[in-house]
Amino acid sequence: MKLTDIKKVLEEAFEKNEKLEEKYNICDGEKENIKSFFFPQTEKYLEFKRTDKGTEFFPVNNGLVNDSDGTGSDETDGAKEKINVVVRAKPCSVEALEVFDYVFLSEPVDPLYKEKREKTIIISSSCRELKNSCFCTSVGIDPYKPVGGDVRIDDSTGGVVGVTPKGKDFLEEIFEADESKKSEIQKLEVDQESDLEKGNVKTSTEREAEKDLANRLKDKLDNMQDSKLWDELSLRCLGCGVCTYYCPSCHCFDVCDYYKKDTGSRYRAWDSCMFSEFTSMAGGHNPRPTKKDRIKNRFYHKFNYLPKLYEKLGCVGCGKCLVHCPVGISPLTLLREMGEIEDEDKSISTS
Amino acid sequence: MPKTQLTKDKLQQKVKELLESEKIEAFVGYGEGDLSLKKIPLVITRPEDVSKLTFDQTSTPLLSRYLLDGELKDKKVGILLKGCDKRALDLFEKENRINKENIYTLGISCNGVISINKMSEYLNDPTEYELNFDGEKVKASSKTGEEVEFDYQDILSPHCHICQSPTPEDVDDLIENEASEALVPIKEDGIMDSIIELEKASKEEKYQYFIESLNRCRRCFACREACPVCNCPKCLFDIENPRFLDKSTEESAQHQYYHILRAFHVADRCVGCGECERACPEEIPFYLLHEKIKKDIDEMFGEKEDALSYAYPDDVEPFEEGGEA
Repeated sequence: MKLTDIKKVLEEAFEKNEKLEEKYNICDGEKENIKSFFFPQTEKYLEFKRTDKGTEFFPVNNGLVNDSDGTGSDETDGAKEKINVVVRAKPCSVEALEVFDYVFLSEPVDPLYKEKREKTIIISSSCRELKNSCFCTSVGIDPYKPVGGDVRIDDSTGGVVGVTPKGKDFLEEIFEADESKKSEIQKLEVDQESDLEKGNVKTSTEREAEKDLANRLKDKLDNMQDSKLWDELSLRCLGCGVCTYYCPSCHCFDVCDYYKKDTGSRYRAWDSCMFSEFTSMAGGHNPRPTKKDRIKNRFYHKFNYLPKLYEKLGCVGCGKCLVHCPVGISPLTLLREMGEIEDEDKSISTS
Repeated sequence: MPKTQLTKDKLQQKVKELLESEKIEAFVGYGEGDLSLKKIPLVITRPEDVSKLTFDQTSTPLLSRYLLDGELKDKKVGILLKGCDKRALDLFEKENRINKENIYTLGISCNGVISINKMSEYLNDPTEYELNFDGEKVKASSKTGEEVEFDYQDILSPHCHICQSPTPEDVDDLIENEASEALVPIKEDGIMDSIIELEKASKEEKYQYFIESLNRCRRCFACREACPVCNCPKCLFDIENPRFLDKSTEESAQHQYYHILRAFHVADRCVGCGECERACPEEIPFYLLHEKIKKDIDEMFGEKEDALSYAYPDDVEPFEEGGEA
């Protein structure tokens, strides 16, 4: 059995056992943007009502109102009560969560995020298929080394191990429900035919030298304020928000109120630094009026401000922005310009 | 791809002449991107950079929109135009958005462009494949050695099937695309098959179809920004006080509001380039709304030349004093 079959193994176990089925919900960390499990695009947290006594406030704890049927009704299908189990959480996705943890779990802690984060079980595994659009190795991530997670698929033995108490309990629960799964899960094989053997990827030892990457890029960017790169990128950029919405580490949100006659709610929703009104203030002043200001800020945030604050890059090289950007903009251009990727062909001539 | 190479050589030669003779200061064309399935908009200013220019069936973005603002606005610029891109430029000219004197139009006969969204009907992850165009067939090969073959017209952008002038008209110079034997038969009536299919469906079915797909919308606005003729200096959906569009993405009414309103705003201006369909990361078929409105306009009021009404850059902002919002 292949590693990727962990999803199948769990699904079979849940199928046989109604109790598990009711308790857990399997999510695919490869198909879904991992951040939406912890940080949904729209999250309601307060409702208010006008009564005879004045305005009353009611905190909403679980955020999501499910409206998938488009009827606009507040009927939920119970999915939000389930515990999410994220399978196929690859190193890039899990690394991206670190950025989220830094932002949302540092003081003051964000209770909405914390609750979801604590409830979710992450099954982390290595990544065996580097795609054309991937560049995780250029930002110092080893795709073959599973990181973090509550349950980890061990590449050296191929077995599945619980890492955190939560993960261990989860595995126990599965084995209790279905004894046969124990041997199945221990027998998951590591797919030996990997890019590593083909020599396409830096080995861990080579990557030791990458440890100071975040610092190096930070310093380089300190001297790139006037680079021609920002002109080229801002000319090409359309100013949509697709890169930020599909990025696993982008986490900016906007707080909005929605109200009808006597009732209303306060919610937060994803926002994008690429939108023209992102930094617009009350009174109409906008400190980032041009596309150039905005795209520069986006890259500086990821490769300079975050490393300064947290010694970590805000980019995990998953290539989602590259795939979705209608005009093919991605950090690759920046990394090339900084001499991190050698590719004479595509570098911008700064004559 | 020798045929593509021929086209490329002609293009580079021509642009080199233009830049060397100082007829133009900059040229807007296509360059290689980081993904083989997507060529990127590229601006070059030096004759020695022409080798970066390329053109093939993956040159999807529209270039005319780049002439509207920024540093290209007042320069003498050459631009590579497919049929749809030229139609957009014509509209800009009518609306006094550009100074035609400054623009050298280099047309290229287009044989359609591919849509990665269409490819995903056949392939799990289209970006993992390199494409090899051979007449009416396309061979997709991945680096793991997997090969899939399909008809060119199956992965063509839906808009290219109904494009009435793939070769741009009234351009300063035209480059004949050598790889044009793959040209797909174009529907003379200019109506998408999917529109005809959808019209047969019941009211409830249509509603369900659109609601289900519109609910996937993340409101990233890629469709709006990629559209060459969505030109309002300040978009209605970007107005902050009052905010016309909620930021919440769980209200399907808001999705309907955005997409239907956008369709009404641009359907009459639409040049049928299909970039909105290709830009949508969720593969939402909102372009069918535009196409249906276009069809209705034609049926009710007769064929129109281009937009039903023009918007000029010096028009009063509808949301400002003296405007009519």
